[in-house]
Amino acid sequence: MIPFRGYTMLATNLKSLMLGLGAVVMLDVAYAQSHFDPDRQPFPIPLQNNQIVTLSGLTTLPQEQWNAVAVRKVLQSFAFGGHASEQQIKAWSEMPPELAITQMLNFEWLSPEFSAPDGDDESPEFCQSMTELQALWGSDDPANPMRAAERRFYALLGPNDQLSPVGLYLAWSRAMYTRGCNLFLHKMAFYLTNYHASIHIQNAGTGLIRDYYDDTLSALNAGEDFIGLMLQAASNGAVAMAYGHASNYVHPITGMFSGNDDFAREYFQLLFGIEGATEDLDYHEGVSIENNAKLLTGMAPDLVLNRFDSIARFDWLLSNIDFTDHVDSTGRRVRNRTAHYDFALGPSSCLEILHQSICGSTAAEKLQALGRVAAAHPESMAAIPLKLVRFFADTVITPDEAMALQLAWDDADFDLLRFIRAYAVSSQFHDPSRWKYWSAFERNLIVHNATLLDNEEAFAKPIFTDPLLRMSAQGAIPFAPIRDVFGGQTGNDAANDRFVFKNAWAANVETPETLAAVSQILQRDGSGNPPRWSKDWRSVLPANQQGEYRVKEVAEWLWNRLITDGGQEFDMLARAQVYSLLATGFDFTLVLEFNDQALQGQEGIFTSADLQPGTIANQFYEVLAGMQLDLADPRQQHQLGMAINFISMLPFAFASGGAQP
Amino acid sequence: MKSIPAKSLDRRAFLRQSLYSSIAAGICSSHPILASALECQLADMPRTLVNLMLQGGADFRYLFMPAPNHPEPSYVPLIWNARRSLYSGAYQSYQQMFDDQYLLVADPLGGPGFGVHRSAGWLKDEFEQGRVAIISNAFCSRNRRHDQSILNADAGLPELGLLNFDRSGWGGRLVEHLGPDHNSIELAKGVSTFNKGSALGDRLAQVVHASDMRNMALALPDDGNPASNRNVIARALQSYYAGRGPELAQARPAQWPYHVFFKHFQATSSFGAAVEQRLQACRLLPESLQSLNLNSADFAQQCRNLFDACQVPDVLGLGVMSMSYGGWDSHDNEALEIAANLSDLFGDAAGFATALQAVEELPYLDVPAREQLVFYVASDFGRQIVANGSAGTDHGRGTYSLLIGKAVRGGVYGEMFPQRESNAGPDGLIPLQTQGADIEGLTSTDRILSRAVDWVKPQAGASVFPDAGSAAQDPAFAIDQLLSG
Repeated sequence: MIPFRGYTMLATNLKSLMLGLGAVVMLDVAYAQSHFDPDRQPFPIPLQNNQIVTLSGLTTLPQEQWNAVAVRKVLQSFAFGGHASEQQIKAWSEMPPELAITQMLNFEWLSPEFSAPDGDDESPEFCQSMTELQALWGSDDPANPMRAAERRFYALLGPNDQLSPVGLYLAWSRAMYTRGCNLFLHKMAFYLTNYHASIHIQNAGTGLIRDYYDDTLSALNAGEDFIGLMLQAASNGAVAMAYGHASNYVHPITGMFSGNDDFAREYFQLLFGIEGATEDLDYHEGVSIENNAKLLTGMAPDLVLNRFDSIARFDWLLSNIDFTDHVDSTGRRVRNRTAHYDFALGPSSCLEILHQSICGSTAAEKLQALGRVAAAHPESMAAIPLKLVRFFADTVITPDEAMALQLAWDDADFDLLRFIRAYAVSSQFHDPSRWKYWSAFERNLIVHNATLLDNEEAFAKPIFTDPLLRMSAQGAIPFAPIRDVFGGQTGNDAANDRFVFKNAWAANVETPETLAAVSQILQRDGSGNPPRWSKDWRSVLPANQQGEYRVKEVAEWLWNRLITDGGQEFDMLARAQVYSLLATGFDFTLVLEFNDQALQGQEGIFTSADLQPGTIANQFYEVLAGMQLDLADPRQQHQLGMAINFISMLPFAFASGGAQP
Repeated sequence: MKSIPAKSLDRRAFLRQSLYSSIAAGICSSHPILASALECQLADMPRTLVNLMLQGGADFRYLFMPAPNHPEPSYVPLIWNARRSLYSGAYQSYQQMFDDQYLLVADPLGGPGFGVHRSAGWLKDEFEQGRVAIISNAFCSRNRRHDQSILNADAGLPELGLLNFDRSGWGGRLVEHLGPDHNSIELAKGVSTFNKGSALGDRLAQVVHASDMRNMALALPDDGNPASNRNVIARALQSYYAGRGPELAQARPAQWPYHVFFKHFQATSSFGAAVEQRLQACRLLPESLQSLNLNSADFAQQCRNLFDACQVPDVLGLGVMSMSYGGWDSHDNEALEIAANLSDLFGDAAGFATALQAVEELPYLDVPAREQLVFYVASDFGRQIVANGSAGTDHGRGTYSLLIGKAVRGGVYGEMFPQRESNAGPDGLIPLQTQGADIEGLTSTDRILSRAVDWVKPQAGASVFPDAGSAAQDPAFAIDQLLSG
């Protein structure tokens, strides 16, 4: 006979439920005792003048409204939830928002208070580069924390000795839940490379698109402003190969242009939001775009002989274009100087674009000059702040909000970080009616980051629990944007796609252990007696003043960790299920029915009215709420995971905000 | 408030019985497959218009090329010179290239013969049988931007200049006109603007997303162990969504962003299950569709969905369907890219050929399903008529519109290879010698689609395309001729 796993647990938990029926439930919502690492303390950072985050058009949230919920909202919107400790969140909520936000959102490689490296895992040292992370996670380096059997999936080279796209997808996904990586930095780089100045791995190749992402991380970390970031994108070899202008040239003798105008058009529209709506159409098509096509000449990337040890020549390409005439390491003659428009005139070579004379002896020099003009174009000034905010935080921007954002962008003087910080502490962002649908990237990573407690857990869990699998089943694969150069899956796409919903549901229902597992053998090197990882929610979950973990308190803590609405939508029907899952591991319907208290002929479907005080269901509800969890028991640890499976599939896990009075 | 009953015997008994029997037997009990007891109910297909969007701006000038003996003698050398870089450098002459790359066809309406690219053999056959109307010099937008033009095409508003995707599509408007029992069926992965209805905040009210017709149902509690983790989570979620959804539908304003997820639950838990059940009782996917192997696996799946949708027209509320195929932005290496795409869509034994052959064999009551289908092939825009320097073509405006189906009066409408392209214009330039020149749009797609919509339901065109009456129309042909009936 196959043992029936569920029965013992059901009986045990229901027994305790029955014993508790009728007991007086003492609720104490004050969390005093906690289990945090005593050595880790938040630390204030002196506010520098250049860190002032207020901008015209945006009003900073008053201190009295800046609280832990507000902090969590920032983390969810801008950093896939981040990894900040409860203590750190509390500390930030008690700081002036302008100060807290400079700690929360920055482009440093490591942001300890935001996502602290833990244990002896060396991965965070490589977080500045997907290439380096893959090199570590795919290696036999003793410092590699990856399960031995899974390292090959992360390796730079696939079984065909060419660069592996799957390795890149997996590495990116893992980096987004590895403690120590600055997830705000990565989310911004992800936006820039997968949405704003997007290219597709199919067109750019694995090596180049990874370089492009790494180059973008570096540019952000170096403090480049928006113009600098767009210059980095426009002059990147990955973009040149993806769009095909890497082979565009102007004949040095005849002056004949040969090539296409693909990126010449999208440079304006996608990088700067200039659609030409305020321009004379013929001028925009016939002068700005045509001349920009001539500008984008002499942009062939170099090959580096045997780069990555790949057998594919395409993998040898470098994203960093050398704009001179030279011979690359494969002996190939590259004429980026003479293939460029009107090369003989050197720095005096000029093209009329956007009514300005754009001069420079190479494409790089002209792009530098053009970037300043394009960024200051009225269409760009109007569009860029809205693109940013739409991606991170607001699905529907009202005209008034748009005007405020445009004023702020004007005031920010192309300082992307300053703009985002000012917005993240603004009343506009924290307005309860603001809402944003999560893409499948965002929702799955937010849930994963809220569920994983440390890097040991992240590396202990088998590869099939990686959120990449769920994201891809829900239409979201990194570096493979669904609209190619028009970008990846948006929150709106995800919300309006029934198959995304259906597949997300199936993931939680069919594979609940992905989020609920509490124990796993660590298989780092495949030798000896492998240690076992066990989950202990007590490392993050605050106990109450009596040192207890009461179901209602734990439920509210979990809800806010995942949903971040201050409990606004945590209604009785949701509570009934969460209380029941936490207390017993089983749903409310089963608990009632096992206790001969089924509701009226509705196949376990009941309404809020069914739970009102005075009903038998309400008595169960109250008893479940007051039960105490014994978190020394792994089965009860598992019950938290079951509750997460339920909460993370509710409508409120698919979006942020949208509160109704 | 509902009263709590003393007992709810059926369900409780079932749960307990399942629980205890699974303990006793050590296995999960299973019920007979209900679907096997069902019968496939035959239902006639209503007239249905299928919008196929070719994303990226398809170069139909590559699909169709003039015959070497084209009546305008100067045209062929000019177009050969303008576009020869798209083809292999090995060709010594237009004749040689044409013979190798194109299939000569005769116009059923008596126009001059022309070439259809060899990769589109099925399309050539359909054209010769009078089932394909090629409407020359059409336009669906006035701009050359992908996003704006696709929006123009989906919305059925060629003159629209505002990039706002929160608007109705012409497919959505058509199903609204057909009535509340009809839906716009999206067979592709993403729901496009084409399907959206007019109700602000509820634009998907009459949309069925059918990107996998045989896998549409939600994972609800099954008849296995009721205490399994799977069933515990499924039951908790089902209980919440089914119980709370109706309450919030009343309590929250229509614009509340979370309504959509409750609607997804409703649609996938009931409707999706009904579709799956009916399909299980009807025909299996024919082997030809099961093994359909295209360059685009996504389009192969859409072809399977198309067949299945035709099996359950009454369940779906057919009238409008939507398909899509990306990858037409052929700025470089056009021959390679476009030939693969064309062969997926229109090749012998490829997508349409296979799906429609299978549809042809479906049983029916009065009218064969195949006769009730008309396809409209749309794209963002046409491409420039002169090749660029990367063996490709850049964005243009005017294009060809295609209508395909047994109800179509096949042939070429309008001047397929306009003489103006080979003559000097007012600026003294000959378009076929001028970089940036494109096909001049003479007929708004509003006009064409309005006629097609009238075929689905008489007089519907004016409602779905209110501006069609005043939209541009090439006087060289009468739009009424495009379809019979």
